[in-house]
Amino acid sequence: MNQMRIRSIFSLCFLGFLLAACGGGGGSNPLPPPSSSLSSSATEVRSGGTTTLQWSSSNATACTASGSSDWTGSITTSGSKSVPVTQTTTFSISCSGSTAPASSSSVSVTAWSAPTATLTPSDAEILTNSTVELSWASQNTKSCKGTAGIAESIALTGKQVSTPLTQTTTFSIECQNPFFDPVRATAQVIVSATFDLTLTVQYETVGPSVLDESTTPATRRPNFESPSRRPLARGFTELRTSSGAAVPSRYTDREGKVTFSGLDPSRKYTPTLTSKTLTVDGVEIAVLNNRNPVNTSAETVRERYRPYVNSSAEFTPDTRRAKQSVTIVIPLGYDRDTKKLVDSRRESGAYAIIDYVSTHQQFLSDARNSVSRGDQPHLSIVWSPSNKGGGNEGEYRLDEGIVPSSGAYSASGYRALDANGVEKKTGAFISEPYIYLSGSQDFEIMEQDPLILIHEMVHYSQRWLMRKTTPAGSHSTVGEWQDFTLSLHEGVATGIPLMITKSPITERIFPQGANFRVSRRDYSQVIEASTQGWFQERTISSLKWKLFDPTGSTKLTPAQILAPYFSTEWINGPWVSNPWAYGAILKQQNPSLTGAIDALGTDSKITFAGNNVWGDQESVLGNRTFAQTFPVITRISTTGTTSVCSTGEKAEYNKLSNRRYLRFDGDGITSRRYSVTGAAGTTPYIFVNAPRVAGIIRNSSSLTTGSIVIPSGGTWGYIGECSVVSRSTIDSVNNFCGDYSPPAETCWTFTAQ
Amino acid sequence: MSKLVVFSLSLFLIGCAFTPNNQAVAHQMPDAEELGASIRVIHASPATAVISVKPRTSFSEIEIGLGRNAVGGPKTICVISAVVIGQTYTCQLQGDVISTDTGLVMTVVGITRAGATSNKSFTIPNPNYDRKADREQQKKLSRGEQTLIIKPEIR
Repeated sequence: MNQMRIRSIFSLCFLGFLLAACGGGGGSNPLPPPSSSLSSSATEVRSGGTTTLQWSSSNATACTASGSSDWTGSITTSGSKSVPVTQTTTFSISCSGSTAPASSSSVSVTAWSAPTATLTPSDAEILTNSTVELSWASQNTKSCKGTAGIAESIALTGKQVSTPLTQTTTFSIECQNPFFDPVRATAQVIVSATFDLTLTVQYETVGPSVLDESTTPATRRPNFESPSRRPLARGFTELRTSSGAAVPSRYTDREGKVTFSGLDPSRKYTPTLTSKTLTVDGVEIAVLNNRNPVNTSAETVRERYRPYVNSSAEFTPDTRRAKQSVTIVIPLGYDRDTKKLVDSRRESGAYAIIDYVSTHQQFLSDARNSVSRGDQPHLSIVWSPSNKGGGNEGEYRLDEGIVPSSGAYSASGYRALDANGVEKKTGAFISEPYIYLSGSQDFEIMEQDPLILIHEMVHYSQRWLMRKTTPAGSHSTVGEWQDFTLSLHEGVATGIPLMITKSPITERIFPQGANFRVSRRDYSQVIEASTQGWFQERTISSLKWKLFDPTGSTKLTPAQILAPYFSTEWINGPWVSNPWAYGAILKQQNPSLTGAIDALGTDSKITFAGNNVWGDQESVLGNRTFAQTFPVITRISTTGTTSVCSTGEKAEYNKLSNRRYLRFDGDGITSRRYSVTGAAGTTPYIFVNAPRVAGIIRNSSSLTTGSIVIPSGGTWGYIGECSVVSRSTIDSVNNFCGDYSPPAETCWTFTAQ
Repeated sequence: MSKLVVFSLSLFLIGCAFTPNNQAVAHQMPDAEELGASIRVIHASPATAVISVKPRTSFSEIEIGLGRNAVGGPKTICVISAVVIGQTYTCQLQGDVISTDTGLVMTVVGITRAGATSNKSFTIPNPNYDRKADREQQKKLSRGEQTLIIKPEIR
């Protein structure tokens, strides 16, 4: 049965095949291929409007739409449909029938959005009788025309050069499409008889140091080959003309830019820099060339020496543009051929100094909200590429560029200069502070080192913005056993540059043999074999960094870190500057960080927790015994006697033991008198921080009677064996106390009278 | 106790400044006092001196020598190795400075085991220095004309 059904089906299929195969030879016609048409009720619409699409076809069995999300997929073979048009669209249909090919039709509908047009002059400002090129462009527009200053018939985009302009002119075009109001684009070209010149002043400085691994251990060397360029902040700038007249001077901004206006385009100008600045506080600071005295009879630094003056080649103005600019580069003076710094070409040194001091002054101004005490004196910095330090003790040979230290800040003044530029040994002091800086390649290139410059500038600021009393003398960043107030002032002077440069690493360049080396210190690290504490300058600098460290526990801002030093408590406090008072005030100002600040103190071996401004609770020893070191500040009794012992040899580091600090309580009324006794053959050197009182006399080697009024809030002072104290703080040349060997330990007894 | 000296004094003052009015007590650069270096000049010309070092921190080596402005260039005179903290070492140096220079530099460089360095230098003024010629030279060097590089804006 099944077999029969299969045979029948097979037979029918075969018959069908034969019929199909023979069909072309005559019989019925095949269907033609399909055709289609598509039209839109509108060819342009406002964007978001609708159009009605109408379509038809013949011989089609199916049609498909495409072109937009509303016109897609299978559709009937004829019909109409309203569709939205949000953007210019091509609508299509494709219809297929039993005969190939399929038929496609399409229609485009333009959707008009709001027209836009721009008109841009090649220069916003030009000089009189110059031309300007105007460029325009438009979108969603069908036509544009010039309406002011531009030909009426214009394309949708284009350019046109103006006629020579004699006055400020406004150009405009208007563009439109059928569905929106016309849009207008205008451009004003200012026509000026004078031009502005913007100088961008940059100076070259040594590039990041490189590690020379050919030596063991590896040696860090300065990179003169690839100098960095930095903007000169607040540099004094002039434009000079060939007639010698100068355009009024200006100071560059923080980015090294300065603009001179109202310049005559027919003249030539010579950009000229002078190594001086006016700080944000209105203080004039000048870098003076002490190797080239301009008046050898002048006895003061300011009168004897002049700033460096450097100029470029003449600048010839462009006669067309009203806004012009040039970049001025102050060269480092490195000769790539000989691979040497050439002293006669080291022009950037003086300006690097200006930039660093300007940056420092700005930093401090920002940190204290621009509060100025208003009495900062003008400051001179004497520097030359041949300045050296390490000269004879007490000899300041400025014309020759040789002084005892590699550099120094003279806080209070100096004695007059003689005809050879040597400070006299006698005579009145000239109250004019100055900083001396080494620059010699044979000695140390200090102008390339922000640490050194800013360190000395901080001393200037400590003296004039923080406290009138600051210690001085030789010291060492990595040495230990220093007087706590010396450590504090010097440590802060090094800590502030770390915050300014936002890096705990400092570098100094010095010669070693025929090469240069870089001495590098990382203040985020504890140095090997080092004892931290209040007696170490480096500890104070590191503590500043720890308070600032963006990854640390307190993350204080520079303003917060420095705020205690600008506080009334600090400036007027009856105690000597010390790290414990700083910690106490810092915690008062930042109560939520008390725990973190105490912990950083403990980490630095300085006791902040539970301590007062006199450091009564300090317990970390220096290199002396407890009895020789504590209390760090001895309170002198207002009645009876108080014993204070000091110890140490000349120039030995523990100046605390050489010079013991004293605390005096006062009632503000009584003039308190003390007598002091000591061992035979010794001379006490006593200092009290109080206003000068008539009748108080000091002479070279003896102490005379007098009396003082202890201020109502009390005050501080110190005592030490005269020659030892003088060695660390006072010029031995002046021989205040004589020069003899002190005993190992000297005790003094204060008796209230 | 031996004889007591009684200073019939009251506390005396040094003005209102901690730092006496004296240039020599200026705030010095943070020199490498850790080397404990000092110099004793024996002759000015030829410059002859004894440099002593008494290191206060650990150095693996200390080099003492004539600076780059010595006639014949820089020269290491003494190398101190196996340095002991607190011990005094001395080195005698002699040299001439080039005639146009104001002073001969003598250098002390301390190198730690980790390669960190400390340096301290001394300058011995040149007694044969020609002040007049030097002033002329310095005047010539100080003109500063066309020493800056000017780069007009490129448009």
